[in-house]
Amino acid sequence: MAFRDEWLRARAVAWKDLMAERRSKAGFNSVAALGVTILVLFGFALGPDAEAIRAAAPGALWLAALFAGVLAFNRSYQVELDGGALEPLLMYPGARRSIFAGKLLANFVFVFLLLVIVIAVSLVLFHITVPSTWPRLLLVVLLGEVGLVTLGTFYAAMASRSRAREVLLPLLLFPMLVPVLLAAMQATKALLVGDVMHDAGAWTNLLVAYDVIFLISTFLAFDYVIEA
Amino acid sequence: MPEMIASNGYYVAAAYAVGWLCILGYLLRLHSLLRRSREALAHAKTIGGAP
Amino acid sequence: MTAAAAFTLEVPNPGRWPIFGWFAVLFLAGAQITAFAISPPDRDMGDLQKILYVHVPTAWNMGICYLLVAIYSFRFLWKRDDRDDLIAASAAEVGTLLNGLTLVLGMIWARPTWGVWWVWDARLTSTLIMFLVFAGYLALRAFVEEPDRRALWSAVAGIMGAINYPIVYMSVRWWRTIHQVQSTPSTLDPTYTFSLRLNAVAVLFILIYFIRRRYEAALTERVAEQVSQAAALGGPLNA
Repeated sequence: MAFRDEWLRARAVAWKDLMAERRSKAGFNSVAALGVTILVLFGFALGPDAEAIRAAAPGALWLAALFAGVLAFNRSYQVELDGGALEPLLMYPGARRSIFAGKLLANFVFVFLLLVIVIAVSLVLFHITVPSTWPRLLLVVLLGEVGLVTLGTFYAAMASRSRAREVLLPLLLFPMLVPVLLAAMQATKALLVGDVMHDAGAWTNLLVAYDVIFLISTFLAFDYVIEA
Repeated sequence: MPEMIASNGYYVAAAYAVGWLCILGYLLRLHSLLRRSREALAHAKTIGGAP
Repeated sequence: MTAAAAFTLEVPNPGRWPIFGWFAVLFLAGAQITAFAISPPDRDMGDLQKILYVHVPTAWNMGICYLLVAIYSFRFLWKRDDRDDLIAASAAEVGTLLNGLTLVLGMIWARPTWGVWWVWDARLTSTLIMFLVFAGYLALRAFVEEPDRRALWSAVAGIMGAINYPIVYMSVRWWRTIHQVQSTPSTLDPTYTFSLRLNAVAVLFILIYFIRRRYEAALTERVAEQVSQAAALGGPLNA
């Protein structure tokens, strides 16, 4: 019974965040535009040789999603910071987990849409052909996104409420994301060439392990972060 | 061979120099931090009107 | 933080610690001289092997610092004693110092050994990531001013950072193996173990001294903070 209440509350938080985002259309559009711009910059940095660009595509793709996504994470707490709506929410039991779950959901949807755009543009800019292994590729993208959004939402809970939030979030988040990003990039790279070396499976398993570890630890730690 | 050992010696010397510089540098930082914290405490006490 | 709680923190007494500081520095110098004296040049590496007497003990003790951060962060979350937070923070600062030193010494060793200043092997790369993690930890402390919030968030960040270390190490090692790159060989001959251990203990003494003195400064400043806070709230003090 209590679990259902928590789920409803989480959904409510997610819905509120997404609606706020939708009303300020500038939010998603700008972030998506930034993602594309970053891809273009990578193209300039690594190109124009077709082989080099194709080789760099997995890395560029994930980094573009990361740099643009970081903006989303801090802003996911903006609603509460501006309106002070956090305190009333905290009074329900199990509320903190619901808040975190709700924000995770909202950010997941947001970053998913961002990834769709970034991947679509990468296909064009980096001469990527959609491989036969694309279902597994989709799985890798989703798993990588889970890790990215989990840690991003978690650290943003602290960074967004401190001074110098723009630098603090990347500073805290990026080193923690190294395992997830490494696994996601390597799996993506392997799958884009049809996974001839059968590496992707191992990296995918690692991704799952990382996601589990970080989901559990952030859920446990969120209580302490939001309490302060 | 001798010239290789000689240039390696530079690296060894550099390593130890960097190590000791760090230690001495941090000792200086500790010294200044301790002094500053004691000053802050003395200052706070005078504001508070403590004896 | 009530006014009553403000006085549970006491200003630390330096006591005999300054003497220990002198002892630690002299002991380290002695350990290094001993290492030079009793170990002959390595067959393969020649004099370069002497760099390891600084590099390896520094790396080991950096690990000890971060372990202390994790332990005292847990303790703080459990007991909410400000002193645990300050010990964790002091250990983090000293750990970051040793971490930076490990990286620089690693580079000084890599250059003549392999001809490059950097290799993307598991150990060196993980060490670099840990440096960034704890630089972030120190930045977090610098950018959060409210003491209770700062302590709570640091504890969480410290623990998350510490658990990330084995994960990062494993990831990078897997990354290297997949690309069939030669891993950097472990180059420690048992003959040199005594000198290594001696220097490791010496650096441990330095570490202990550094953390203790850093903690003294932090605690004194915290007490000063509380004294002026209590004064701002009004009323006489009995600090």
